[in-house]
Amino acid sequence: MTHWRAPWWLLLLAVATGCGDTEAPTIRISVASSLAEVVEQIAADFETQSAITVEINVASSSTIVRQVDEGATVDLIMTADRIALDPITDRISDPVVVARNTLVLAHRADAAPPIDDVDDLVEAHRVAGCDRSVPCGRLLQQALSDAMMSADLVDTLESNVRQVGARLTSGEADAGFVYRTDVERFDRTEIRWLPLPESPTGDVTMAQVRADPTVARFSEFVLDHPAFSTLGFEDV
Amino acid sequence: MSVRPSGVVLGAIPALFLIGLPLTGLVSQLSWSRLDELVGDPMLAAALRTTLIVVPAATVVVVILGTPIAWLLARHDRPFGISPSVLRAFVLSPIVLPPVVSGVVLLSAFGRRGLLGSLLETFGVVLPFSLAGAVLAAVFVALPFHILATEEGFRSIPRSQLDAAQTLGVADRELYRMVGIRSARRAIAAGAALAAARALGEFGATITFAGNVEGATRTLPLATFTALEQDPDLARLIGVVLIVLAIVVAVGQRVATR
Repeated sequence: MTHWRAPWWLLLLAVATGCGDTEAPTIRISVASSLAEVVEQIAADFETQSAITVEINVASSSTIVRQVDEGATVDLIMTADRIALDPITDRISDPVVVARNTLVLAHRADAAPPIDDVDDLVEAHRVAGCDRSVPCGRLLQQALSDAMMSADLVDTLESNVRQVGARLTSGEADAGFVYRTDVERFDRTEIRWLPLPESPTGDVTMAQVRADPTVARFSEFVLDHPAFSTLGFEDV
Repeated sequence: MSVRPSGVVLGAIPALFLIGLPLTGLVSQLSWSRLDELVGDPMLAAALRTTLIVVPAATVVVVILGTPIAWLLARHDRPFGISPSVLRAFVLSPIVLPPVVSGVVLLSAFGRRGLLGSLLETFGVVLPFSLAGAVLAAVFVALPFHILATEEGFRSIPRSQLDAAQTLGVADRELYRMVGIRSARRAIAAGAALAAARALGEFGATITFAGNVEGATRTLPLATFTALEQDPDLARLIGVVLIVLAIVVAVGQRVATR
């Protein structure tokens, strides 16, 4: 009878790689999908200045909040609206509004029937929007009621705003409710946008999950950084 | 005679643990106090209805489309002039594709800007965001499972049985219909059950290709994903409903193939 045993050196190797290198200072941040580019830009600048590594986790606001609620090791969180942080108010400190982002109606230039005004949106259009469980969906609900439009106009309900953008760029949707900052990334000849009545706006909110001087230093850096303005967010 | 517990039994325990613990965890975290309210949630009702249409519809389509291919793979030397192993690798490829990639390839074919999609649209057929699109996504990912099981069934028909029919001058088409399908009906049923199980759990291709449209493409897995964002208790309940349906499919397979 033969027994298979792990060679002793394999065990040694496993131990050695696990605790071998001295760890460089790292902060982990979770950000909403709509903030991916702006935070990447800020983090890259911070890394070159400070030699501190920034790890970025991107998902919908409600997903990153749920992850924190379930004990994910995150130092800082940034959501697309303030309400998203409600389930974890007792786990965060110093929530601060960093910038604002406005929901708009983006539409394909070749949509049929043509869309020149928010009122031109009809049942025949294929429309994408966010589910009400995420910030862009809450703003969408607000926009629909402000414009007195039926919720049935929106066909597919996505779990983050980038998926709405993807439906538009792929041509599957004629129109979609996205942030003003998303529009910047689209090809202007293909996709145009219209402001919504009352301009529903989300407060981009940042909060520390782990109070720590390094984390505080990064959040100061975020507040001073011009990237939010240059990428089309509104100043607070 | 019972066998004494051996090392193999011990070796099997981690797998049982790995599968059993998450399932137990899901059930243990069910919110019993909110059960009445959650069971009546309109999202659950709509998703259940959608799943109960999509899964049977996809299974029927899979059996109709998959059975002839399985016959060719099992019985023909060079179907379509190519080697059966090449054809087999081709038709089984959706198994190894990540489901989200399946969604992307479906878009490239049947999306509005896909190879066939623009033609379909001129006939008023738009698959993405529609119930038919959800069925198509499920068919795409489930078809190979049915082909695999059915081919095995056709292969295990005794040579003598087929030879006897052939000496009586039965053409291949009749052979397929009269001997093949009749003898391999258990394998076909098993394949249908496998396909139904795969269709039941389908998520990635559906959300990518067909979207997340309540009442049309939001099946139970998509509803779980959506509910997770706002009401994890509801998501867990939908998960349990999916487990129950999976058990129904498994039991159905046992009954159908007995």
